[in-house]
Amino acid sequence: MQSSDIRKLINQAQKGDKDAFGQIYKLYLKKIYRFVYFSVRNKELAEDLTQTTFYKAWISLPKFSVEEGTIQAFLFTIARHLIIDESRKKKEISATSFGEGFEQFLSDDPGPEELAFKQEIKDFVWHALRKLKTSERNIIVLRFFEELEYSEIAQIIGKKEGAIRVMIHRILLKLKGQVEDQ
Amino acid sequence: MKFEEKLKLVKKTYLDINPPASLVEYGWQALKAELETPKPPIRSVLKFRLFLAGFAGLIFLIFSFGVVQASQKALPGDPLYPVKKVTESIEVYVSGDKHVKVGKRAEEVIQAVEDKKDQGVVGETIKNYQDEVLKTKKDAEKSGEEQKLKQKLESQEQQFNDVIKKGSSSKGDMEKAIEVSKKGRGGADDSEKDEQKSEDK
Repeated sequence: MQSSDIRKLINQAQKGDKDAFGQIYKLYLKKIYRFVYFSVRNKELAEDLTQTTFYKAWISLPKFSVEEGTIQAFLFTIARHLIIDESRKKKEISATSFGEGFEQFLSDDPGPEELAFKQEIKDFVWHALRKLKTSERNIIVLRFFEELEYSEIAQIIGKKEGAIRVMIHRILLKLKGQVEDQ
Repeated sequence: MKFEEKLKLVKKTYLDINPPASLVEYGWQALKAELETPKPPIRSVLKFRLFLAGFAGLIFLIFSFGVVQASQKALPGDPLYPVKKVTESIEVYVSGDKHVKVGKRAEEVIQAVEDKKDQGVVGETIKNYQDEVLKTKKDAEKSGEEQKLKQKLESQEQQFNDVIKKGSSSKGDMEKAIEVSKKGRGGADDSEKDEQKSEDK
C-alpha cells in the first residue's frame, strides 16, 4: 500500500471511521504482534498487548500527526511502552528463558539442513541476544528486522536520530563481541 | 558464519513469527466491538475525581467555617476556645491590627457577665483581659501606638459602664474590668508593676 493511501486511511480514521482504522489494523497487525511476541515470548500476552496497542492507538489517533512521524512508528511507540510496563510488572523477563517458543515458527518436519540452521539460530538467540537488555533488543529488532528508518526509531525511543545511530553502533559492537566470544 | 549472516538468520526467524490465526481472523472484530462499547473516557474519570475532591474540599471548608464561627462565642474552658485563639492570631496577622486580642478579651468579660457564667469563668476572663491589656500596652509603647490603645481602652471602659447601668448583678466584676482598663491607660511604670504583680500571683 502506498504512503498516500495510508495517509488517506489515517485521515478517515481520525474522523472516526472505524473501518478505515480496521484496514490500518490489518496492515500492521503482524508487525506489532511479532515485535511484542519477540519481547514477551508468550502467545496470550502478546495477543493482549497487540490488541491493547491498537485500542490505545485508536484513542490517541486524534493527536497523531503525519507531519510528526509515521503511523508505523506511532504504533511501535505504543507497543514498546506496553512492553516496558509489562516487564516492570514482571521485573525483567528472565534472560535464561529467552528463545523459548521460537521452534514453533520453524517447519514442523525439518530436514537435516534445517535442523542445523535451526540450531544455528538457537545458538545465536541463546548466546548473544539473551545478553542484551530488552530496550537494546527492541532497537536491533526495529532497525535490522523491521528495517525502520533511523528517524522512525528516534520517534519510537524518544531520542534524537544521531543518538539512535550511536546507540545502534554500540549495541552492534556489544552483540558482535558476544557472538565472537562463542 | 559471519556476524551479518547470523543476524540475517535471526531476521528470517523473526519474520516467520505470525500472529495466531484467531487473531488474524477475529482480532479486528473483537477490537471493533470493544471500541464501540461506551466506556467513560479517562478524562471523564479524572474530572469526576476532581469533582469529588472539590466537593470534599467544599464540605471541609463549610464545616471549618461553621466551627470558626461557633468558636467566636467561646469563653475560657469551652472546647472551641483554642480555635478562637488560633483564628485571633490569624486575624491579627491578616489585618495588622495589634489590638484585636484586647478587644476580644473585653468582649469575653462582658459576655461572661451577661450570660451569668459562674465566678470561676468570669474571674478567668478578667484575668485574661488584664494579661492582654498589659501585653498590648507594652507592645504599644514599643510601636508608638499608645494613643490608639488608650482610645480602645476608653471605649471598652464605656462598654463596661453600660453593663453596670443595665443593672447587672456582677457590678463588682465590671468594676474590676474597669480598673484594668484604667491601669492600661496609665503610664508604663504602672504596667510594669502590674506585670510584676501578675507574675508574683
